[in-house]
This record gives sequence, C-alpha cells and structure tokens, in this order.
Amino acid sequence: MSNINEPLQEEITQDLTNSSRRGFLKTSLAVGLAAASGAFALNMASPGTAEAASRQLPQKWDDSTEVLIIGTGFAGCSAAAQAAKDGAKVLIVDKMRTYGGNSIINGGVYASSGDKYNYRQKYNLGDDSVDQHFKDFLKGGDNYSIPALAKVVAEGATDCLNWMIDEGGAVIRPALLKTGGHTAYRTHPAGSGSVYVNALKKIAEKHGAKYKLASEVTWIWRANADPKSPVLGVEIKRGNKKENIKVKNGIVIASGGFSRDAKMRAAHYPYLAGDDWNCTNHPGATGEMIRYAEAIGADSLQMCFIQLYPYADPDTGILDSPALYPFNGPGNGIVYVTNQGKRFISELARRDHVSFAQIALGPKGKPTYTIFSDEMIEKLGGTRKEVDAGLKHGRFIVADTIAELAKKIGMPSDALVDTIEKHNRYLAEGKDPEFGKQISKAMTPMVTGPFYAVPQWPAIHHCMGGLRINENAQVIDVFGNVIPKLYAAGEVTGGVHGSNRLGSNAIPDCVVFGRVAGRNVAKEKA
Amino acid sequence: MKTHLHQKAAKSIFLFNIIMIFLFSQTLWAAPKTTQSNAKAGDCAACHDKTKVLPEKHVDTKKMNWETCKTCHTKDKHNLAGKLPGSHFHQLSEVSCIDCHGKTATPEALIMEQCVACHGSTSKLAEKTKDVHPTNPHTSPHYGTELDCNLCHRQHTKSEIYCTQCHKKFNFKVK
Repeated sequence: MSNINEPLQEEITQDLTNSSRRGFLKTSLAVGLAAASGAFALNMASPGTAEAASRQLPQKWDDSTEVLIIGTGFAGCSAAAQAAKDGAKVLIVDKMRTYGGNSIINGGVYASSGDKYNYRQKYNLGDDSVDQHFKDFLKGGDNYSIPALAKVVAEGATDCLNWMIDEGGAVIRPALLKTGGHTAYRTHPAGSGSVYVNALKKIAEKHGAKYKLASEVTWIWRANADPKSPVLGVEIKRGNKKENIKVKNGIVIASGGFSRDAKMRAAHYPYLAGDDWNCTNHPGATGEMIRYAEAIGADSLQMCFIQLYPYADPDTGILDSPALYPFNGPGNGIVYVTNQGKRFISELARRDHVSFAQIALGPKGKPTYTIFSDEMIEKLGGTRKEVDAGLKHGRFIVADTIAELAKKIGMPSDALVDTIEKHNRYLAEGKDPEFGKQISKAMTPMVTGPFYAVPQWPAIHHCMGGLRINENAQVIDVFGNVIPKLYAAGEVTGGVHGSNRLGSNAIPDCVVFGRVAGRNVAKEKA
Repeated sequence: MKTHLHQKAAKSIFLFNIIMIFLFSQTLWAAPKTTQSNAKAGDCAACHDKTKVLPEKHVDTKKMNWETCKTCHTKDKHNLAGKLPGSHFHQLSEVSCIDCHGKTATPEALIMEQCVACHGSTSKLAEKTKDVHPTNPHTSPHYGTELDCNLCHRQHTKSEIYCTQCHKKFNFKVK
C-alpha cells in the first residue's frame, strides 16, 4: 500500500495546542536537556547495519507525555485503558493508518476458566479451574513457558473478560467451547476481535487516552546499559517528519508479532522462510520494535516458535469467519477429514499437531476439510448470518446428506459416509479408538442435515517468542535486570505460551498483561 | 592514456544516463509542473502546462466541468472510475485544492471528518451500498463504517481497494 503514513495535520495541531498549556514544562525540559547536550545514546544494534550508526540523545524534545503505548491492538488498548483509569496521561500510537492491527481482524475467541454469565455451569459443560487452565498452558507449550507468566494470565483471564463486558460494553456470544489442547470448555466466542478492541478503546478514551495513527516509532532512547538507566522517550516518524517524544512514566511496547517479517522468520525458524507460505496476519506484523528494544539491551527468547493456524483459507491464507468454525467446533462434535474422506487426527489436538499432521499428508493432501452439521452452528458460537455469507462467498459447501456433500467436494462418498458413521458410534460409546479423542456429551452426532464442509490448510499465524518480561510486564535486559520504565505486553513478548500457544489464549494474554503493564507504568514516578 | 579515455567514456555514459532519466521521468506519470489552486474546473493546462493529458481527438475541456464531462462519460460508456486521481473529480466539480487544504504553501493530508462534512455520514453511505457484490465495501466486521475514506479513495495517486490485502476476491469498482 502506498502512503500509509501520511501525517494527520489537524490532529498534530490539536495536540501541540493542548501541550502548549503545559508549555512551562516543555521549556524547563529543554533547559534541563541543554545542560546534558552531546550525550550518546545506547545502541547495541549489530555493527555494519543501518541501525548501528551512533546516535546522540535528543537535545530537545518536540513533545512529552506520561505514558506512551506502542500499538493499538488488544494489549495496547488494555494498557491504555488501565493506565488512563489510574490517572496517567496516555498517548497510544500506531504506525498504520487504521487502529487494531491483527487484533481487530482477529476471530474473537477468549479462554478463561470463568465468566460473569457462568456459561459452563449453565450449559452443564463440566469442571474447570484457574489451576487447570494454567496446567494446559504448560502442557500445550511443552513446558517451554515461564510458569510465572502463564500463571498471571490464567489467574487474570476471568476478571479481564468481565471488565471488557462491564466497562467496555463488549457483547460475547452465549456459547462456551472446548478447543484444541484445552482440557475444559473455556473458550468464549464473540465473532470478531473488534468486539474486545472497541470495548478497551472505549474505556481508554473515556478516561482521556489519546490515539494517534500513522505514527511510527523509529527508535527508543536510553542513555546506557546501566541497570539504573531508564528509557527516556522515543523517536516517532509522521509522514516525512521525525519528532522526539519524552516519556515521563514509561513506555509499553504492544506492537504485536512478526509473522509478516520474512527476514526475522527466516532467521529464527528457517522452515518458515520464503514466499511459499500463506499468512493470516495484517501487513504491519513486523518485528522492528523487537529490534529497537534489543538495541537498547532488552533480552528476547523463543523467537523460533512460530505457529501455523491449521484451518486458514487454503487459497489466501486468511482467517475469516468460516475459518473459525474448524477451531471452534471440536467440543461440539465436528470432524476433520482428508480430501479422501478419512480422519487423520483427534479434533481436540493442539494447533501445531494439527498443522503438521496435514503437512505430513504431502502436497496432494491440500486441502483437508472440517465437516459439521446445521444443529451445531449456534452451539459452536457461529451464526446463521455468518453461514449464509460463507455460502455466498463459496467458503462453505452445503448438502442434505453426507454422501451428497462428499460428491460436491469431489471426495469419495463411501469413505466420508463411513467416517461419519464411525464417529457417531464413537460419540455413543464414549470412546475414540482411532485417535483417543476425549468424548463429551456436548458433542453432537451428525445424523440430521443439512451438513457443511469448509476447506482448510495451515498458514503462518502467531509468534510465541519475543521480548523477555517478568510478571509485572517489565522488560528484562540481557543481564537479567529490569530496564527501568520499559514494559511490554501481548504477542511482542515471549515465554507465556512456550513452544505452542493454545487457541483462544492469546486475547487473555494480551488483555491481562496489557492491564498489568498499564497499572504498573501509571504508578511510575516521573 | 587508457585511463584518460576510460574516464572520458565513463563521463559521457554518465551524462547520457542522466539525460535519459530526466527525459523518461517527465513521461512516467503526468505529474503537473505547478498546481494552480484557482484553476477553472476543466482547465487541464493550468497545472499540466503543455503536457498531453487527454487522449488524441478529445474535445477541448477548458470550459467544461464534471456535469458536461458526464454527457459522454457515463457508468456504461467511457466510465472514468479509477482512471483519474480523486482530486481531479473534486477539481472538475469545482472543489479546488484550497477548498479542502486551505490556503497554504505546504498542503497536508486531510482527516476523514473533512470528507464526511460534504459526502455525508458513513453509516448512510454503507446503507446506500449494501447490495454491492461480493460484499458491502463501506462496512466490515473489523472496522464497522469507520475506516478512513482515503485508504481506498486516494486523491493524488490511483485509488486502491484496502480489503484486497487479505480478501483477494473483493474487486470493487473504486472511484
């Protein structure tokens, strides 16, 4: 896209007018910094690269704020909401001309062991607990998670969901799902991540947070690597102009993952290098903020763990509404089949296992399919409107019988009929001898049509690794010390999910840690 | 001796390249030599000077505006959608550079509110286009009706379809 960073002149004028009311503060800043003129800035970027050119700390600052948040997705908006509520002056920026990044095009599924509606008890869907959710985090990521971080999310998830509903007006769907790798029904569908982003933005703006789009952070200022040396501010590019913004309380990096950063992907996980892979992400999902943080001493970890979403649109790789049904439905009895009509894995398997099981089928294995029935639609958090739209766009295929469905797809109908009949029997007997799937009563056998199929294939989706943080969302440097006044939350951080993130654990990660960061950065003394 | 000849050859090749780049860039796109913010609607030459911006045999547009253009350019015949930068549709409709950017030597990008001020609310617009195929271009589950107009309706370059970054089949006819 051309010209995504055209400056928003009216907004800049507005903000400078507002800040001139604090003009006396700016003057005293300028005086104070003139005294320290000529100081070099910390820059640990690799020698020989453009970023490694030596930089001088700004002699004067063009603007200042108390809290600066980089990124307007779930984590950024959550941090903005909490910091603003706690009385800090918040400026939240995004390099793109739209807000919400990946979060606003996200599927909107949120895992928590409870919710204010008590859906699990209401629908008789069994037990769950914070501890069980925490254990699933660790197991789902092969114990690569930092337990203290996973614990923060498991403990805070329910509260944060209720917060978005009560204070942000978020409306979630009246369904509760069991999805890959989870041992309980705890995934809450909302239809789209925009529900949560807008709820958090509403809270943030209500308490005075200011959003500025088309504003790209191009450096983080820090004087040196001394553990007492805090981050001082950022350099921001708007259109063709660069400004330096002084930050009094601190910075929260909430810039998301790097699935669209081909160089970074190739560096950490060569298997995913190159153009052959589709990707679910928006074009802004690149890793420059990780590099800028590393250049001032931040540690990063587990950058090699990059997740494939198993059920993306096979042509474009996008995660549209139809691509959510394969993820939402395992707890309701949907079935995954090869294009020859046979099951190939437990539908409750975690994402990395499902992705690699498909890839192991070889190039002729593309695409595989999810089969579901009409009566499952609302129970798995879908809507008639979505299904109709999906049919109109040719994403869903529908037929009155399984045999007809197979014919429409071009799949051997005997095989598919046999597979579904066997699966129905497994549901009745409470046992899956083929793949050991845990059967539950909420799984509906497929007896009455119409029946639907949606094609699917893995696409690059989520980065489990990133900046190292502690339970307070503070960024840790390569020596193990907190970098004063620097926080990070959401997909840009590493160590929460280990080697593989369970679906619907991302939004709670972002909102819980965003809130922790917001609370802590608001408390910082200038 | 050889070095001297080499240097002379290198210099002339260099000069030749510069001239070629200069000549080529003039025809790369019909960028105006100046912007005359008080030019009359159809007076192309006021900004484009002697550069030919209209096809051969096109009528003289100096005294025309969008209403008169429409006598030949309809939705079905010689449709101009996507063929001119958006700013030209404004200029032809007698909305000049100054009317949006104000009197300034350094015009900046506009904000969406300025478009809405004349073109009406985005929710009404979404209502108007609800039957467009394959989907309503003015609303989405992601951004509702509040996506910045300029993300698609570019004024000083060719318009784009923002959705097609992900939704490859959303090939709307965008003005």
